[in-house]
Amino acid sequence: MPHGADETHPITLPEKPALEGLEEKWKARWEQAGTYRFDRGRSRADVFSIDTPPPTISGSLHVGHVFSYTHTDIIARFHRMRGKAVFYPMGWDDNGLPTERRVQNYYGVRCDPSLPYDATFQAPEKPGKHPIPVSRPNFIELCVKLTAEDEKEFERLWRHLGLSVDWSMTYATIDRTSQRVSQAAFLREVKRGIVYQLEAPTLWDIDFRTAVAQAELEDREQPGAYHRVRFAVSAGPSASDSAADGTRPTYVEIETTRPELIPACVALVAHPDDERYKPLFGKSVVTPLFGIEVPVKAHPLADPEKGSGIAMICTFGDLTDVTWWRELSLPVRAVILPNGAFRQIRFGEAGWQSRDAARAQQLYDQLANLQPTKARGVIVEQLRQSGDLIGEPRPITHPVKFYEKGDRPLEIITSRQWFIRTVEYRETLVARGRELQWHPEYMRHRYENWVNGLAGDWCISRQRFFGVPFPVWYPIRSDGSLDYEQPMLAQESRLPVDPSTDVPDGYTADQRGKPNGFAGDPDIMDTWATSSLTPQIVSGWIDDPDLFSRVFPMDLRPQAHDIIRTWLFTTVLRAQLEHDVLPWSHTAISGFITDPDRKKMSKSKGNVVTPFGLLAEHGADGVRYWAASARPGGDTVFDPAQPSQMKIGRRLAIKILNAARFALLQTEPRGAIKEPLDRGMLSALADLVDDCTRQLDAYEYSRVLERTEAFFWAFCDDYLELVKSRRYGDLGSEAAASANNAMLVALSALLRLFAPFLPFVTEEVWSWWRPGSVHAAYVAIRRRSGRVHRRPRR
Amino acid sequence: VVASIGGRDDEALTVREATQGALAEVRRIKSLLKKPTKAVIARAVLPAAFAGLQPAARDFQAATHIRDLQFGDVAEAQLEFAEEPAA
Repeated sequence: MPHGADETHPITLPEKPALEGLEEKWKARWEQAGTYRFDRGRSRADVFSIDTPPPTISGSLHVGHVFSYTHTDIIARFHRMRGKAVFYPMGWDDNGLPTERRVQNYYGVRCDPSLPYDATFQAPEKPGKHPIPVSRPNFIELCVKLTAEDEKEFERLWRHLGLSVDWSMTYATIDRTSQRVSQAAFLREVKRGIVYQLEAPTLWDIDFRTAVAQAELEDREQPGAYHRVRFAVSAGPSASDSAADGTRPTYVEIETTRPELIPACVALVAHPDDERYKPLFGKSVVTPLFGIEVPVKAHPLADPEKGSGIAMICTFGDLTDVTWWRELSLPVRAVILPNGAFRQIRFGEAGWQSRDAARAQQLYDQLANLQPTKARGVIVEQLRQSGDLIGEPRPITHPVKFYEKGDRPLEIITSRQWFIRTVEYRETLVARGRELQWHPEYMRHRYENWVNGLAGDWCISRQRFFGVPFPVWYPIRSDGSLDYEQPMLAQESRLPVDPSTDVPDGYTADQRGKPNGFAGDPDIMDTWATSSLTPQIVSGWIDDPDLFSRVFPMDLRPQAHDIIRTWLFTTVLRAQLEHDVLPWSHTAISGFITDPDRKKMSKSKGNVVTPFGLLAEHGADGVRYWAASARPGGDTVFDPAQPSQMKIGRRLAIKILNAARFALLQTEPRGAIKEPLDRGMLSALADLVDDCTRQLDAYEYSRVLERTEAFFWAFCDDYLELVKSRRYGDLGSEAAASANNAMLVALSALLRLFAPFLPFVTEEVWSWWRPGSVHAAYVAIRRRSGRVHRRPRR
Repeated sequence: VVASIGGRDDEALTVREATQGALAEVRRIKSLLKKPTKAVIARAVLPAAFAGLQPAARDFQAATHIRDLQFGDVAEAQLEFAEEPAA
């Protein structure tokens, strides 16, 4: 029997076909029939596995989500229709700072990790004036409770949009499996020396009071000013002082945008070839106001063209300071506290020896407890009065590093953090990036630029609460200090653990926080430290080796381009460290949806368009058509006032309904396809199918839609018109049979070509005349023809 | 798809291409002359480039309402419309 014609299935046509209600009807039937259920009996070669991005649950649902998730769904449906068992789970990214802040405000609580878990705790119905302190496990319970509501809303949207996800396989980045996998990977990497702990300069957000990673930084143009300040060479603490031998001091002038860090100055630095400063190398100068003697050093990173050519090294003004400090073996003279305020200092003590300790103390006391911006104003006035400020500050605009979610410039403070080694794997990671198939290919350059620019290892600890805790405790010495050199790691069989409530082996709960007892690591993992393991989390790496062998390494990572340096990079890194493989063979990078002013949609910008109204007005197929029309990787402008693509998509869906109904009204007689026009149409259609298959293999879904649509309109406008009278028998029964059969074959193929894009209308039409689901149609046809292998039993 | 016709048919593809091209040409002229799509054409002479449609001539003539179809050395289709019935 020719493909497309099925004489055993009766044709049942509706009186008035319509799009309304199709989403509700089919999503319920798909769920009931298990249409998208993953068949885990299939071998790896027969599986197409997708590392679906877990949307940030605390974020705002907007039309951009619909855009990129539709692209992935098209690919998932394509592979399912080619006979693959598609592993397509859905996750929710619910840990991290945004959720924490929401929970604090919603329930009126604050996390205090030193508190024990209270099983009876009930959050107040309304938040009070003063936040209630709760333990970390209690706080996490509240986070989970609140995010559960958000997850339901996302799931409702995805189902309405027709995502062919297996809804029996969902996960959250804070759930037990995610914690277990994250902690297990951490422990294994600690044991192999890939993860280490260090007290070191760390990028620090003073509002969130947490370390942040290089990948979370962004440069923002900020107003500032260059201040020209003089340092005395071999002289007293200020301009008016004389050298010990009574001669007037000489000076060297530096330029700085952060004069408030003069008390934290540990050296001056100039380029080794700079003739102006060569005579000073190896000598000392004296800081203005505070009278601290600091060396003058040579380093090639000093830029002779910048400012006066000689710079102040402070601990720490920026990342270059950290490099100089490390490479020149300088001491630490830290002044900024984790909350950004200037700390109390006693001049004259070790590390703070001054030529005039009393004066230094009197001046510094005016800075203590101030935030950096206010301290800058005070110190500029002090420099002006002492005569050490040369001229007036020169206003500039310059890029300043911010935490991407932060409001104030980052500081660099010294703290104890966990790091994953990355820099030493740079070449390996670049090579992995070249093995990966990028769609579009040009996105690979973003990855390579990032890897080549890695400046330090990845700091994975955060001083926050809602996230995966480090499964580590520290012994407390008899003097009450923590012994960081002897961390006690949890047994993998106990995972997940929360060291703030769980007790290390060999100890009892009452030894917590006491001399000769233990203390839990108070920090949590960076959210990317968990998200970097999504392939392992969904694949059952720790607990389900059978599943793991069938889906890992995965086939596809779809994601947006702004998180190549975070999610994509860290996932490649973790798979390299843990399994020595790429986590997936393909990555499909989607663009952003922007508003008409080409600004990315985001809650903070107030330009978010929520998708439910659009889905109600244009139907899921109409909205999906709009999404599928965009080329992979490209940003797309969306103007809610002119949703023309969605209207076109809706019209196309209506045309499919009506054209199919018209075609199916007359299907008899049927017979061999002999007429040249029928054969020509089907030959062209066969070429189209081949072309679409190639294009979808290359993730060029927008071209497939465009070409299929063009063929479909020609089929309706030309072919059906040309063969109309023949179908009615005007040229004899045999000629009519040829047309009817060709039309059915074409309709079947066209429905299958459209199915990944317009799943609802194609399923509806398919149900009028064909058994089963169009979304498994290829498999069904192959099976009937005896060319498909039987699936193994579960 | 291609199995339903026992393999790709290149000759039939040529027929389809010529037929669609000719159909578009006739529609274009009817539109230009503001003739209804179902206006009957008593005689049509199409450019020789469209002669490839001949194996589908019956379909083509039925769809375009052409009674007498010929191909000749003409730059564009020459259409003679049948008398329109009196109102």
